[in-house]
Amino acid sequence: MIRPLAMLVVLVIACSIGACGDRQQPPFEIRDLRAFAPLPGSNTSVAYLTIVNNTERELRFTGIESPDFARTELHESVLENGVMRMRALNGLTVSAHASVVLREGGKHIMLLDPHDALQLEQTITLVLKASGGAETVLRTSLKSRIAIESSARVNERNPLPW
Amino acid sequence: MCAAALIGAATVATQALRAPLAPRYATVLPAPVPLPDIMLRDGQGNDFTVASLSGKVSYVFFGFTQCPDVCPITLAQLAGFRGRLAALADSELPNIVFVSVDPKRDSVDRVGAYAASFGQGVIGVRGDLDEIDKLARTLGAFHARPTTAEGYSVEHSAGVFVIGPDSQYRAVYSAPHDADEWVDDWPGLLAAVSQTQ
Repeated sequence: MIRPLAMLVVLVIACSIGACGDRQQPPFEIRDLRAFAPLPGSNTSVAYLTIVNNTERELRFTGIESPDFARTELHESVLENGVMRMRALNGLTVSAHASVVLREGGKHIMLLDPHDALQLEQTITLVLKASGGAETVLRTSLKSRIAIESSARVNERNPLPW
Repeated sequence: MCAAALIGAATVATQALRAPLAPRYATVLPAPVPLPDIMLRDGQGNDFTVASLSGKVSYVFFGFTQCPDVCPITLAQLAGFRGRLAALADSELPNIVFVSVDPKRDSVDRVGAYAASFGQGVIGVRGDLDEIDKLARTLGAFHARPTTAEGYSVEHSAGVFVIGPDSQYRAVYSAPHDADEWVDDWPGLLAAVSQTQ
């Protein structure tokens, strides 16, 4: 139920900024939004999503905020010569009819210092800020970082090779 | 002529059967590298020294608990890999060792809670930077904490370093990682890292 609600919020706001006719696509869509609860011992977590630009012009997003966290930053994990570094991103640019994918091991939304102790399945809010000031409100429930699928089940599907 | 060819083929086949499996994905060191004396603490506050690595294969990963992306992904992969070996006797299962390179923020309690969240066999370790550096230098692992506008960020090697049951550095897996590769490699890696030299 959460994801359709989040998408509805996106569509309503995207249409309200003036680029969405009755039978047209919204100017952009948010897909594959997911956020993870901070692990024990950590006050940092992460969210990922995909922004799909349906327009013929470049779209620019200046950042993401959340009322649930003291700080929210856009970062990119970069593997250089075997060393993992995080680079801060100054917003996101999505080319015409293209997508920007935030995913594991790449671009991501870093969520720091939650205001309250967060629980699994708790809904958090993210606010995606477009250049020009339009805001898109996204909501999603927190998932576990640890694999949900048991190793025994993985072995059933994918038997040990030796 | 024909008999000689058959004998030759049989000899090759016998040698192949006797040859130990070789890991396909790990880079095995040509000779084991002894680890230096280190004094770290595990997540329960116990001493963690080279002797703590004795008797089991250990997969060592450097990181920090505030790492949002790559560290939890890698540790979850390692924990999943260990879980897939669950049919082995407990004494044969590898240890997963998470070494914090952010001792300023990562207390013993934090590292312990963080590592334990990945399941049994995942050991969190922290220590003073000079002790961590002794271990990192021997493994060829990089770690740094460059200053940023918000304070500092943490950079670290993404590799997974394999320590043999004799507490010597034996092999390394370079990033990006794939838990299926660790599973495929396990018999060959175990044979390679258990050889005495």
